[in-house]
Amino acid sequence: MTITQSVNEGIWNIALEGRLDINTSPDLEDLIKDEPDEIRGIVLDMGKMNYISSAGLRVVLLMLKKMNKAGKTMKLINVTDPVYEVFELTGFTDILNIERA
Amino acid sequence: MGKLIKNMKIRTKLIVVILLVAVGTLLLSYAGLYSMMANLSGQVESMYHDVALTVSNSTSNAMLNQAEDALKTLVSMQSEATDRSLREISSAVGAAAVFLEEIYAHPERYGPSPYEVRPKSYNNPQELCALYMMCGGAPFTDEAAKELNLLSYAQTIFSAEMEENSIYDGFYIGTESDIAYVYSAEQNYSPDYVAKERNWYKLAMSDPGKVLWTETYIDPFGDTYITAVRTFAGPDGTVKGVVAVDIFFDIMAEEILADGLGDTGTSFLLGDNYDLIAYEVPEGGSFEPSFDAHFENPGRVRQALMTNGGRAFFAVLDGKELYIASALVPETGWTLCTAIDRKEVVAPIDRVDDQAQKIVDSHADKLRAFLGGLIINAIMSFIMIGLMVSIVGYYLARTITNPLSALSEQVGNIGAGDFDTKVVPKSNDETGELAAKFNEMQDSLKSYVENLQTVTAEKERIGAELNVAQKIQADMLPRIFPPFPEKKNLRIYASMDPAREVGGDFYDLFLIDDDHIAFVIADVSGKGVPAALFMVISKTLIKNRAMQGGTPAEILRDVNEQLAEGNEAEMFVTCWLGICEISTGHVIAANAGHEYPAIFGGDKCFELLKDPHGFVLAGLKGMKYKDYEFDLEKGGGFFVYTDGVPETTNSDEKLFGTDRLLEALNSAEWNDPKDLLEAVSVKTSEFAGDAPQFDDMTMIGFMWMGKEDDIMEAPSNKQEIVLSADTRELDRLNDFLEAQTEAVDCPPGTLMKIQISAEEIFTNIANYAYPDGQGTAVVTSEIKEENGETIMTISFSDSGQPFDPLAMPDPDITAPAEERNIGGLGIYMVKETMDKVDYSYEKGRNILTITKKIR
Repeated sequence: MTITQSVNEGIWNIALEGRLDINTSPDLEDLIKDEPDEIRGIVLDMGKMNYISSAGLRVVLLMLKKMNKAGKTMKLINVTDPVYEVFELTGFTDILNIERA
Repeated sequence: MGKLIKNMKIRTKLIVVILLVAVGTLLLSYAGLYSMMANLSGQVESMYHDVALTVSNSTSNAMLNQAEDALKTLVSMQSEATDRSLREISSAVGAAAVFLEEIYAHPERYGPSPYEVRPKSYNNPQELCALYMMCGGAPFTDEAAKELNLLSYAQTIFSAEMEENSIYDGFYIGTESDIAYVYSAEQNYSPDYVAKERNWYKLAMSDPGKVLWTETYIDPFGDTYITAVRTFAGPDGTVKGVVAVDIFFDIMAEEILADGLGDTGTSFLLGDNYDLIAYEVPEGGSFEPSFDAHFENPGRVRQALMTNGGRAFFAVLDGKELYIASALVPETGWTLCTAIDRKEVVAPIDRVDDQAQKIVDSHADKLRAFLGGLIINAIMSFIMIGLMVSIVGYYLARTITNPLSALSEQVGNIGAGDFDTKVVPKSNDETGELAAKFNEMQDSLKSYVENLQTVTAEKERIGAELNVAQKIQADMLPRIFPPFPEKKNLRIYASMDPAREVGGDFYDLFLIDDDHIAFVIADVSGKGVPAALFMVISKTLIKNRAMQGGTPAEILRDVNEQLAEGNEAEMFVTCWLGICEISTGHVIAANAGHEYPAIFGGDKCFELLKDPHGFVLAGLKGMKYKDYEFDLEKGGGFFVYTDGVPETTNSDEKLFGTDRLLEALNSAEWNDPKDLLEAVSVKTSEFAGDAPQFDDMTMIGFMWMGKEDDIMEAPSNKQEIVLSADTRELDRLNDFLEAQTEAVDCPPGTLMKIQISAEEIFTNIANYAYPDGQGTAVVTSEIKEENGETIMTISFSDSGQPFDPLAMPDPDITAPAEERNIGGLGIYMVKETMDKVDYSYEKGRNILTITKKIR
């Protein structure tokens, strides 16, 4: 999985490309640990993420909890239908700010 | 530009037109007027100029005439005076000569003269006296003395003259006998002097007896003299000598030139060859006699002097332009001229010219001012009229455009559905008529629309009812497949595609008893509601009769009797009825005018069975039908259809035909009759293209899988892979699964769900099955076609510690984020996304099986 990220006007833009599974989700988890200063929120671009398993969901939940605790925002954008279905199935659509593709 | 004009509002157009006309007319009028005025003023100006010119000319002529007159008067006075003077002198000379002739004729009368004549010498007294000398050394003889004595008497005249007239410088006589006598105040002596050789003497001799004048000459002292001479003769007529008198010409000239006309008048005297004799020599200048040197264009001036007969003329003398009058001095043949500066003559003329010009100019200016005023006037008029016209035009235009706008709005309202609001026609002109007609149209439209609404509602109602009817009819046909799932050795699929909402085709599938299944396919003549009604009757009768038992022929026979009864509408039904013994695959069938069935064996090779045809049902009573039988191979069956299938027409009006049908059946790739029917549908659709469906299309496909305890295995592919119990093996697992699903065209969403589930289960094994993490997992995958569905079954087995992942409780997926847990979410997803999840522990292995319908 390829992760690209940039900070723009206080928003941390993270784009994922590829699979977010048991093997690749640690990369995202590591990235999150190194949060840049002065950000008010995270935008996670899932446009090119073609797979998410429960391991991926775990990291997403981690990120969300972290952001919530810090009073910061988190938004998922370009979420494709199969991925959205997974979120829906697991009730993640209730707790996440999701923008479908 | 054209577009601009087109899109201009009517109002604007009207105003523009009116403006153009009004302004155009005005413009033309003013243009005409202006040009006339300009023309007139031009003419007036030229008239003024002509008048001025005439005035000027007349004035100048008058002035010139006046000047000429004055000049001429003067010059003639002057010349006369000059002539008189000259004549006096010549008469004096003449008198002296005559006197001498008298003396010479009668010398005896004259004794010794009282007048002393002394001989000339170097010491001549400078006083008025008579002197003599002998010329050229001639001796003073007695003869000479006598002659001299005679000569001395002339002094009488000489002294009298010289006393009277100061212009006489001296008289002198020269004789043929070489005596030179002089009576003058100024004496000079030259011993070489020979009178006879002198010019004056020779001049006199050229015309004896006549007083002649020499040219003027200047003496060594710069004074100008002129001499009058005359010969005198002896008694015999021979010339004895010449008497002459010297004249102080300067004095004479002064007198002559003294008078002048006006301020600039001058006079000058010309000799008989027109050389200047006397003129006012300018200060410091010298006397220049040459005519040509003084006059510009001397030839012309000579002409004027000669021919004019005394007319005054203009000439340039010494650089000054003069108006000159001349007169002849007859005595000497001189020409006396008197002149005035041209300017003096012309100045008054110029003044008159200027005045005239000023008057003309001022009038011209007035005219121009008038024209200018005319233009301003015109512009003001344009503006005024333009404004007026615009305003009038505007209001006029409004009477046209307002009604039109109102109508336009009304149209809008109608478009929005309002048929009642109307515009009241305000005028009787065309717009009013339009409004009235429009209102009429609106009413018509309203009633038309209402009519239409009623009709449409009716149609919709009928349509709705037909839809219901269609549903009822559709529900009548068995549509659940597999229709008899407990009969595992039967694979059946059927479809009916009506041409209109309700059709006449039908099929039926029912169990007559536990071991017999009946297949009915039929086609009622016609389409639509009538056919549908007949279809219901036919289907019911056939089923009822078939359930009572008997062979297909018997069944058809009995049904025919019933249908033919009371069949006023003369409808008929084609029908094929087949009864299959489920346990043996033995089929008995009968055909009532229906299409040939297509039979296939275990090799799926289709052939049309040309079965015996009875007559169609419901046509005539008393018809008989024929049974025929055949046995099905394991995996064989039949395909029956209605004529809608082979009679599918394309836009070229070609029929699909039974050949193409057989081809479609044989070329189809299918394991389940559903796929077979779909393949045929696709082929007929392709063939038909854009052409609409004319007839109902009905098909039944039946495959007998063999005896119940020997059912043909549904084709499937089972694969297996062994993986190490390590999450890094996940990619291998995914590749394996992808390969499996590729062959059956698995939708990506489904594949992802399968993979998520597989990942979950495999990860569990990798993480928890083996305490030391070492071990393997066996994954098998199988894809089966069952009852028209593609089912994938994956099993995960390991030899690790026994563990049932399904035993875990589901996580709370409604909890807020903070309270959510990941634990159990994975298995939850497996349970939710897979069709079946089973766990078993057998022979020391955990076995977790998931099943998912792919298609």
